[in-house]
Amino acid sequence: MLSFLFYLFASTMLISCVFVIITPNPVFSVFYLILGFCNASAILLLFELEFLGLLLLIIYVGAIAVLFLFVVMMLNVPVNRVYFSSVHFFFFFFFFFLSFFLFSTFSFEIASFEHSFYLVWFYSFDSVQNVLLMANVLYSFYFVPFLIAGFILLVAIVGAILLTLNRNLVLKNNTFAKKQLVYQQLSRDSKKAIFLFSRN
Amino acid sequence: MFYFENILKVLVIIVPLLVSVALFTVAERKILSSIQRRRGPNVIGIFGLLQAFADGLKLLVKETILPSSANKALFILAPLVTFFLSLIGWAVIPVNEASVFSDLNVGILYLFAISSLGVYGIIISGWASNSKYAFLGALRSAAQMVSYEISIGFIIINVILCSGSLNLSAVVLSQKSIWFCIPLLPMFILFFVSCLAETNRHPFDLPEAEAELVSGYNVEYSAIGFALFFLGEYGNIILISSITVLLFIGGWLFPFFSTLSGSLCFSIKTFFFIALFIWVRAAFPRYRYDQLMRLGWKVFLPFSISWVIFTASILSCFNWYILCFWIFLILYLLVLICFLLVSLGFY
Repeated sequence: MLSFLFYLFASTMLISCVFVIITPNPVFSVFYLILGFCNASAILLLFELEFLGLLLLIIYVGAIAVLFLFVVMMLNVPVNRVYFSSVHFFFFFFFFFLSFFLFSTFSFEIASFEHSFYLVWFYSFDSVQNVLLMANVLYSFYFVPFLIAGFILLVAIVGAILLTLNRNLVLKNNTFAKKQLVYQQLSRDSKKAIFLFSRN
Repeated sequence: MFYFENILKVLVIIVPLLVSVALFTVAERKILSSIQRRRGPNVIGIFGLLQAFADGLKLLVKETILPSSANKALFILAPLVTFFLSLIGWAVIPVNEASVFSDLNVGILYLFAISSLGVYGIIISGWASNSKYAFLGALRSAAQMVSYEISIGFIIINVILCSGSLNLSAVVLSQKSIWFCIPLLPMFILFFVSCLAETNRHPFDLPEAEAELVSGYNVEYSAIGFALFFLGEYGNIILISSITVLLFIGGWLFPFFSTLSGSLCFSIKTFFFIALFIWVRAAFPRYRYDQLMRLGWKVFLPFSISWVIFTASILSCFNWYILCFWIFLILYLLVLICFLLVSLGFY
């Protein structure tokens, strides 16, 4: 059952990854990407890595792919009318069969591994929860890479803010600013807003 | 036998849920009407109790219209996704001690993942129906849900820090001495407001702004598709009020009446929040879109992030013993006073 589910999710993931590339409509390719992410998280759940699987789902599917979808839908990207020749499809199906072939060979290896290992009793006693185990390893052995990763993320955040920063200075008479100031909007009234121009 | 038992369990969860969604719509109309001093539905059934079933039947027998320019597959898929996602969240909700379908050790994360997937039903429906109203409504709704999800995540981290577990039953049991709504009162209020925005309810129901966008992302839907969207939305409201109860109001625990049945306590508390959702709908005016975004990104997000750091430092300093509650109380009164002073200085 487990191996069947694994092949199901893995092959669906591969096929959807291929479809990301070959679909003419960019919106559909984002949907296929999401399908791929979902299958990856399902595979992680099969391996009892619930924390990683759900985190993948939350971050990639719930946040990043939504933003992708937003951009693709909003930008009105023209649909590529790519004509798929039979050569393309031949390559596609070749890839497809190759992947299945690899799966079948791998399955023998996994099966042989399962039989060759004996049960490690220590692991069955010491059933630490998924999250706790990861935190233990992350904060003890790998805390330097963890800190570096955090620092890189900080740099990325600063970079994103710098790229989108409105460089126009807010002048006192508010001419250059493209910024919305709520209190200025709310403090406007008809006496200030309506005035007459005169030549002198 | 195994499958049969599981299917039975699922039905035991889903059938009362759907009935309660139906009754929720009637309750909403009744409470709204009593707030606005009118009668509300009172024709079908006693006190109009069967009104929802009549409406459901009407929606079932109506004609399903597929717009000719719509993307058929995605158009049909979207309401199914919304409805499905509103149902599968209930798998990890413990209504009583040890009465839960699956006691996941990462239950909170599961719920969070499900609620973050909920965006797709809306965004797919908006895009697939190929109509400007639906598309704009969907974009608004999706942007709103994504931005409030972040602050919800940080608020949930506060609860996780205090309880030390991602399991929902453990979170409830860790509230035996005190419900988290007391030491984490500001986060509790923030969570409730974010939930209003997350479920696209008043006063944040911008996607459904009748005056500008007709009805938002589900304009093009009719009959059963619309019914599924409706059921999904109301199911989500019940789900999110029960999550609020589990995270902040101590789930099935009740301080003085310990003989009271746990599931009864849970449902009373959940009903209180559902009633609060309805009251907010009747009492508050709608936000403008930029005000909504400003509230989400510039008020809720910094506040919840700073509160995470605050909670973590309190916990690591005092190691969470009972005195901690009083320290919390004093400190956050101080912080609130500071915030008040700062905001007074701004305006």
